[in-house]
Amino acid sequence: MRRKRSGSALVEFALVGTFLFIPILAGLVTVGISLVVSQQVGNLNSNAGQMFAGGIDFSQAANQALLGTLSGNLNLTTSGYGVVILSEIDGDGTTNTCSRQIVVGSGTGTSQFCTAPHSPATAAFSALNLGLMTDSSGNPSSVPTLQVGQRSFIAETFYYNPLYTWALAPHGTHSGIYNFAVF
Amino acid sequence: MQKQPTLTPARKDRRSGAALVMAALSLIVLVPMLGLAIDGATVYLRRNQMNAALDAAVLAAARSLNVGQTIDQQACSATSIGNQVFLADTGIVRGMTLDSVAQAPTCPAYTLPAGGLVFQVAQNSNQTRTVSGYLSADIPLVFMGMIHVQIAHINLTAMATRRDVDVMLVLDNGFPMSNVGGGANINPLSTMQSSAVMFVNLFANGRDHVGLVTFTGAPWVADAPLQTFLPQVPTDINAMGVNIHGSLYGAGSGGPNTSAALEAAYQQLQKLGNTGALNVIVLFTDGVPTGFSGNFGSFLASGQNLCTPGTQVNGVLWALYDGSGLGQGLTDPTAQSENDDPASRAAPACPGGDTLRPATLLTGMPSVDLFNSSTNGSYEPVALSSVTPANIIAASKNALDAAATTIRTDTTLKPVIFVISLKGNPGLQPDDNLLAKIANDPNSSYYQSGQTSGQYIPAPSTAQLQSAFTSIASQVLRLAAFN
Repeated sequence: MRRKRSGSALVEFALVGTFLFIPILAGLVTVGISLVVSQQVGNLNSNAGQMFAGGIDFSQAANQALLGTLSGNLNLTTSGYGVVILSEIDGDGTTNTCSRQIVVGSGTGTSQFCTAPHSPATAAFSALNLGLMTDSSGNPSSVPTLQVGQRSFIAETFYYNPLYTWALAPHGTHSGIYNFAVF
Repeated sequence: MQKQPTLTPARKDRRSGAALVMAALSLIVLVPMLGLAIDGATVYLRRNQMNAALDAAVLAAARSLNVGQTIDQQACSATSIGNQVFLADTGIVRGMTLDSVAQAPTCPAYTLPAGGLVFQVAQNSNQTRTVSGYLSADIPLVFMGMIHVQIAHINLTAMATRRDVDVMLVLDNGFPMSNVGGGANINPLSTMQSSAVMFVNLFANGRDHVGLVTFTGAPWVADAPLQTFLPQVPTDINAMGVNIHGSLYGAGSGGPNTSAALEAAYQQLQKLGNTGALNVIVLFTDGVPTGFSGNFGSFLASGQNLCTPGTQVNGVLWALYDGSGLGQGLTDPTAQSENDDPASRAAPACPGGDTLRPATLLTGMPSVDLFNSSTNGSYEPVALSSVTPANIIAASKNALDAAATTIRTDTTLKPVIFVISLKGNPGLQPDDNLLAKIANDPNSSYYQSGQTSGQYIPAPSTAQLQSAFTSIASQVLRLAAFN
């Protein structure tokens, strides 16, 4: 009888650890990583958009390098997993059109709002094309209707890292974090 | 040696299952802690999202302060655009409840949308206006609801500033704009006029300043910078014509004196002296500078008697607009004063009046123009001792380059130069490299990071002219607003 009871505490601890504490710990790590990456993406997007709206020309290599520095470990390089798309929207009183677009980061991507001539898209970002914010003509629809001479700016940032896919997956099927801001 | 205490079988039985019980009990503490962490993280994220949206909204609002004829209308425009941008940006923030707000006092005519923000526009004395946005919102909580904390309330404030804009339009009024001579463009002058008028209308009448300089062989300050520039400046733009302002400068034959025109515009900005404003010069030209203003008194050839021998002779040395060798001349010895309307100026007291004076009367060209800009600069090699059309053009380009450099390095006014060119008119086509350098366009190989940076937009034909002016206006308004 004594032999049957020996080690029961260890078994209980293993069960509790497996089904309770490890999931809780994994969840905490997941939420933590997601929170940090979300915050990084949001900050990068906000800063990039604000500078872009303020006249910083991110077609220049020096300014792209500045954005790369701001991105931290989001690795905003052509071989990395982060991309920032900056779009200029012009109005004529009835229709908004995408007049210019600058893509910085992992190759190039497809904006959720509009497209303008730029380099080919990579598979990673193209997969994110939700197509939510364009009208039937492909023009940005979630942007205020601008008058002649008025210009709006959109910053979009997407981060995808296969190493974090398990952590980022709760945010959607595209396994990445996306943020946008209209300026 | 002491005997170690041992557990009896009965006590061991009581400990069996303790881990499960303790784990279950610990959940009472763990779950609320997890909930607090998740709710806290959610509030933190959403607060940041709202903050970013509010920042973007006030920036867009400040950028929209140009729309409207009156200050009140401009404030309404800012409120409207700011709210639209805010609502667009917060589309991804779910479940937020914005508190109802009072009507924006600066815009009684504007109906605040549901979830809209109040924007207040303050007029500052130092050529700036400030747009402030206020947000008060409730963020729903999930886990904290178990302890009857249903919402987290946040209050946010953001501010953006819009500098007033002092802009001088410098418009080429030369002969090729008439399109006489078989250029590809149809009615380039009228297209340029309508585009420039549209440009002027994009600024805030009663707040910004807009002035006008037209030029051919010499500049004419048609309008000093006016705070109430409507309808005066558009009227003057529409009055431009090759037979109106510029005919006495040899508009039918002389080339553009672009450097003097740029200097004239700069002098107007200096007189205004609004250091808190965004000072801008917008230059439009359809060709290459082929003339410059200088003091030619010491360059008269031996035995020549031009005006008063031995005294200073200020004038414009120019080559033909197409760079040919037939028409270089020295004209208008009395020109270059402000508001020097050639249509009303008396003929110079020189033999021959305003008739063309062959450059063979000169033995050379001065190394600086009347504005102390070097004609012997580094942009294009020039032999100042040889008065040929090619050298006149090279000296004119250098003078323009030097004048623009002087303007861009003014650390007090910090003027920004924008350049629009039109191609397809008769004569020498615009020099893209030079004009990009004049603007200090970041895409230019001459770009200087320590100087103010503008933009150069070449219009291949009149069809692109309006969008070029619009784009420049957008860029100016963009630079005027900042967080």
